[in-house]
Amino acid sequence: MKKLIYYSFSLIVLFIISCNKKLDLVPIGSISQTDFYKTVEDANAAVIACYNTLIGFHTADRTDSGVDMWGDIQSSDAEPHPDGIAWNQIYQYTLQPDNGEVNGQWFLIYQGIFRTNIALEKIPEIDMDEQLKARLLKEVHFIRAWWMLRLAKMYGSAPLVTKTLSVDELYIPKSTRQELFDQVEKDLLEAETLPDVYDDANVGRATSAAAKTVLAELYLWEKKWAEAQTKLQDVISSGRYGLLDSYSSLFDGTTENSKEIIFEVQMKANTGKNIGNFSTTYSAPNGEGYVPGGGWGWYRPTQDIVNEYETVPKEDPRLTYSIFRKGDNFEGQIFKDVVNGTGYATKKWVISGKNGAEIEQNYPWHTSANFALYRYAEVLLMYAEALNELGRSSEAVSYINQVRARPSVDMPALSAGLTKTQVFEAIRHERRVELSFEGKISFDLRRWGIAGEFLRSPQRWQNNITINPQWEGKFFKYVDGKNDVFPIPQSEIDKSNGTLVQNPGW
Amino acid sequence: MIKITAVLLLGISMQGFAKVNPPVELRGRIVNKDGNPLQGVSVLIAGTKNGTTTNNDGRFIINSSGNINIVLEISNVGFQTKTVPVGSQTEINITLEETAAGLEDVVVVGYGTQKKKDLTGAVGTISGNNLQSNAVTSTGQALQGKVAGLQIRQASGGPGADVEIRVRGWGTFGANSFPLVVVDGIITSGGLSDIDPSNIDDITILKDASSAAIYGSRGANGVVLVTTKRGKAGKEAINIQSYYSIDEVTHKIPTVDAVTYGKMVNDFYTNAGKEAPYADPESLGKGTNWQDEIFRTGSKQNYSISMSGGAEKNLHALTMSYYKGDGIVVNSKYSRFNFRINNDIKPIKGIKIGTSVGLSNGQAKNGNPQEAIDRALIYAPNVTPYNEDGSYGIADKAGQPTTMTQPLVAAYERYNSENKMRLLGNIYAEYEIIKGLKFRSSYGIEYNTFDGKYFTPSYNYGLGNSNGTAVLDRNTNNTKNWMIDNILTYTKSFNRLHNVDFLVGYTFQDETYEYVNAHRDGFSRNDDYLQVLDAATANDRARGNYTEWALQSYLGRFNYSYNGKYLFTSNIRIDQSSRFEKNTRTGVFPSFSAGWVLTKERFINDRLGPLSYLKLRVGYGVLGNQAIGVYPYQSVINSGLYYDFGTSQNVLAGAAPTALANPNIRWEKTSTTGAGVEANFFQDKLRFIVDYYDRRTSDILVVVPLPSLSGLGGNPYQNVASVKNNGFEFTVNYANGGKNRNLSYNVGMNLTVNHNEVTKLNKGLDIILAGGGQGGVETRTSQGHGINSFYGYVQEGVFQTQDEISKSPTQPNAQPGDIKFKDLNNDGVIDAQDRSFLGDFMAKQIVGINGSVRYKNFDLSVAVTGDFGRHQNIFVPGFAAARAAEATNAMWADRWTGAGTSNYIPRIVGGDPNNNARSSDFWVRSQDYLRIQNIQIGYDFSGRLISNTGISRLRLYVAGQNLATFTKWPGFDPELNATAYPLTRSIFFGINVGL
Repeated sequence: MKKLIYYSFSLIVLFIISCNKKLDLVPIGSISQTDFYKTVEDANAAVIACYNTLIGFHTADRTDSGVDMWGDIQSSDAEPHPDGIAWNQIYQYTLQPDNGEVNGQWFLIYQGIFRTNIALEKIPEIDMDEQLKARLLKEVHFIRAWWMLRLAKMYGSAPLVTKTLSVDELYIPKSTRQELFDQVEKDLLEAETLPDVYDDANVGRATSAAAKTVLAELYLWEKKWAEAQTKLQDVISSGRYGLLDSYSSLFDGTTENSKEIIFEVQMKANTGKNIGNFSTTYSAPNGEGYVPGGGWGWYRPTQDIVNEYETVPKEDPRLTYSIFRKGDNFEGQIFKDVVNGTGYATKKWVISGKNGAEIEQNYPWHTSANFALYRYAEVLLMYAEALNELGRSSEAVSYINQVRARPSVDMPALSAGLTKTQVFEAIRHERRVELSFEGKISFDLRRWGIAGEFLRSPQRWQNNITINPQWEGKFFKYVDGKNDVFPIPQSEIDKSNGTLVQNPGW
Repeated sequence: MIKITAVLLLGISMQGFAKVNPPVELRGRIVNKDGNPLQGVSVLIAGTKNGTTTNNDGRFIINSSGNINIVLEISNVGFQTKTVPVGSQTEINITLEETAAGLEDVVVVGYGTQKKKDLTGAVGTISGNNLQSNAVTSTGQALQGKVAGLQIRQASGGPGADVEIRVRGWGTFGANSFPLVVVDGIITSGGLSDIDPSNIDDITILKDASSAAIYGSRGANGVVLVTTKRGKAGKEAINIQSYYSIDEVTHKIPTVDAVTYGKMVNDFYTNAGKEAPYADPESLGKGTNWQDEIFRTGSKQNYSISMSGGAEKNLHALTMSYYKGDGIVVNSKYSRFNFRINNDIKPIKGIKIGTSVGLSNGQAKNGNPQEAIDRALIYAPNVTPYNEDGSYGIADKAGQPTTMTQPLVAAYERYNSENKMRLLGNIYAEYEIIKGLKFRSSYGIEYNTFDGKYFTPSYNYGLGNSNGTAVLDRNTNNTKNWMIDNILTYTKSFNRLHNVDFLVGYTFQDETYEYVNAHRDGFSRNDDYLQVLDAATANDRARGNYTEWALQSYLGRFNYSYNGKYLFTSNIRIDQSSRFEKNTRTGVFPSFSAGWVLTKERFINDRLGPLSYLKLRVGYGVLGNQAIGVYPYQSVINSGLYYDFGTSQNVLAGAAPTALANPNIRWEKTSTTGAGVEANFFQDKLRFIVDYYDRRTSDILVVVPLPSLSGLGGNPYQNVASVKNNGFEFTVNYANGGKNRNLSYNVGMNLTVNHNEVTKLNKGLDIILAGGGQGGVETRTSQGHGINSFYGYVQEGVFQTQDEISKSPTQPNAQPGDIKFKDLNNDGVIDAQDRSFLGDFMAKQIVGINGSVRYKNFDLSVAVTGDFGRHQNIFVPGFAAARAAEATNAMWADRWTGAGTSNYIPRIVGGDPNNNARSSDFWVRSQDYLRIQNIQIGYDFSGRLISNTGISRLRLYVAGQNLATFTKWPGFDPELNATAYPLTRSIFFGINVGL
């Protein structure tokens, strides 16, 4: 009997010994952070993860890639689909700090900053080819700068985060816009020594010209005209860039990384990896079967932008390349404006696939078209702006005229004798039509400090629709000193244990 | 209920004449109905103080005057008091009948059993008979309203849907808050899903820490112990059960007709300064009610046959059943096959070996019912379901939802099938080493597989309803869960008075989970026979992952009882979990509880009056929770962050952490202090149980949404909060006992009052946010409030005029017709400071009322359930007027359209400048309800009617389920989220046959 008791207990003890190590399990199927950032492959992957943040950078739903609604919706150029509450409130400036898009953008920016911060912290420790390491780090500096410039542009003041943070370190007060700008400059000065060109396998990575162009944008924000002019001069005089003859080929999925492209987000369809361009479905006219996804019309040109295109002595051809008008024939289909109701629809990046560009046949109907963040036409216009501000207005006009002289556009040249103010107006006009629906104009208006005045102007088409008497001719509720930046998302303030303070006026 | 069988073994001879006899010693033995001796039974000569109690063999000796007229009064807790005339006998055997309270019943507790009367913890039980005499479609559903402290919520009304079970409220909110489900000793990962109710012998709910501590780290949310039927020696018992039901949706959400819809859409546009899409909405007519199109009359049918019996040394129980349900949404069905065999063998004296094996196979074949419901609630009434040529009618005009899937397309043009297999198997061997000392070793496995096939054909019916190429997704996963239990128990009685019970044990459990998903598209055709991956041509994608966890535990229990009067139980479990870092891996979970049966005390016994049983219980215990994912402490790299480079667009995989890890997480701990009173009156006919509990969970593991500055979407678990759940459970029951053979009845009510409150947030956190922001309703967790309480603005009314707006606190961009919010802080501005708590997310009171009557062969039973104090969000498709043409809810017919038209429902306006969509009490509604859950009428043909047929029992019944619900909740059902697959109102026709 005792034997049996002894046996029973031995059995128990046996199990204890044999099973203890079974508790030391490791996650299967994913690498733990402590085992990562060891090899050159890891370094490369860490940098790819930074570029990955650029896909669908504009909205909380990252599937909606290939557009930057912020740049056009907050102006009078485009209006959102009536179904998008958050975008409509942004459009009309009735938004409040709980706005879903304001919240989503904030997260995406800090996600971009995190990915670059961890890469900048970990890659230096990796034992690898030093030259490649240096280049990768510069690429990362470029991406961080781009995100941080966006942060400063949109929110004004915000927490400056330049390292990865632990759970307990996430409560940081805001830095000023200038402090954010200074960090952007530091990063870009690191990045401007990036390669000028890449081999075929690496085309699409950030180049020296890309870094200098963003740097120039920063200097324009800071009104450092001479510095901006120098950087743009470098890009122009490199001779590597030029305008494509065909304006429409920039947006129809037939050209990629062309000579006009300074930097574009690389996208690809049919991968199942969520790196395609959604703008076709996003923008194509709602309710008409142009494209496999039918078109959602989330992003609609207004009469106000249509009015901006020149009509004398001829209609600016960029109107037809950028905007569908009722009756337009698009690859055999007539735009009837069944549902949009505005009479217009966005044409840039609307791809049916009939021209050979790749598009998925099922949701999310992604295309492979890249989305340009900076192209040479903008470099020319920025250069013109810097020259004009430096008092070299007649030189400035010649760069505007280069843009107007693109063979497929061929608009008459402006006279070299315009005043500084006239040249500024010409640049404002040219940027608005050349770069329409490319996410620029509303940031431009803020940068120039004229957003309120511009939007409240009785000239705006929106302020003249009389259908709603309650607006009393003031569709745009832009308040100077408040709407120059966005509010800090309410939920972020709520979560910050009191460290985040709302922007003035909100 | 409890069957009362009266067997009087003794033949009593009454002698009609008196004579004086010398004093004698009366001897006797008292047994229960199974012939087992009863200890501690009080034996008294009526009208005297001459009494004694029985020993542990049930024997007594009492000195009698020898008078043949004396009568013995035999009483014992849990049994009906009996008076026995002695006559001339000197040796008397007496059988006592149990009262309805069933105190002698053996209750399954973790890793063993205990008599109900010896329990010191809060334990609820439900007998299998109770489950099987009712028409129930799932085991979980059968528990609804039956036990105080148990909350059962149907997750969906689909034909194969499961329920959510919670014991005594939500103790936690980060980790899993569902109770542990143990089936025949197997700690399951699949819960009650697909467990056939006709298999079940009984279910025990361990509600407090003192009873659940034996499950340690997994007992914090209570434990549901399911025991399946085992064979009993004797004649083979064969039971056949079947039912058929006719099902309708309990409630359709009222929607607007096409005329009102057209006006609403026009409002949306014109109020936003745009042209109205409908020139003449009045011409639109009544239109389509899409719910009428997608809902239908469904049905359920069930057939089950069970056999049990065998010889003493070889017992078996076998059950087979088949269930089939046609859902109330078109093109949705579910069928399930169950098979179970349980065996107990005694090959050698002292050794018992047994198995329990259950297999189930559930199969769903559907379109996409939930998508069909969601779309039915938003699709335009001015679209016809089908065109004249039979094709689907599609929204293709301005003022219609042109990008949305038509409800019938969602219902029919998806070929989804899901197949679930579940095996639960257990083998045990028990060896009685010496009398009272037993060693039991068992090995259990659970194997769950899921196999899903999702085929979307290629089609083009028009806008928003085209799919360029057919797509097939195949998702499979399997869970393997095995465990070994080695348990040593020792039971001993000393001096007839002291009973002790020891248990020590060791268990080890390991679970692995793997999934594989595959996708292809580019099918040339949609035919059934081509719906395999190899028939597709493009976009091959595969995914898969594997996880594993293990738990090693030591457990112990000590029970002591003194003469059935003073009871003491202590449990301990030491768990070591692979889910935690080595140094925080071990958790110790003890419990102590004591009981005092006052009716065993002489000083009470003398003044009993109507009181027949009184027990006090107190207990304290500590439990844990580890259900927080498998490796939450490790920071892992997400290597699915792609980008492409190069002229040939090479896709490269990037990698970075996308979730923050917290290496310092610890066990979440719950301690419960509880006290209970059980009091029975009138020979246990009237029974009360009152329990008070105070359950405190500390170090709650919560995924705290961190400031976005982290740059990481995946937030880590942190031990940040403490929560208190306290409340009362009150059960009262009256049964008339078995004296009247023709009439028996039973009425009962249980009530749970639970108060949930966050008592502390650590780390300087003010709140934990969830959801929220715009276009959704925010919930937050903060000190002094319930978990996930709704939070937002408070509606004061609707602005009627511009004048009212100018006289009210500043509310930016408000126009007449917009919601007027309350200026809670009276600063003259409506802003974020004017938000407050809007209501609880959890029920505060849960009530269950049950009644049954049997008269002769008729029986009738009624069950009512209700929940009070719970709120839910209605900012959901169909209700929210956020999008132009997707609001159809009838409430919008009463919207503000001009001064004086409504002070509650705001206007509809595109762009929503006033932000009427903000989180507010307009969108948070009460889900209070009271429901007649079940009414059943049966007739039992047993007895003479069928005595010649070989059938021993035949019962037919008709039952109605969810017959009426009283609620103000505007969604389908107050138990569900507003748009979830609604519950059914069912009429059952059933038959139970015993051979």
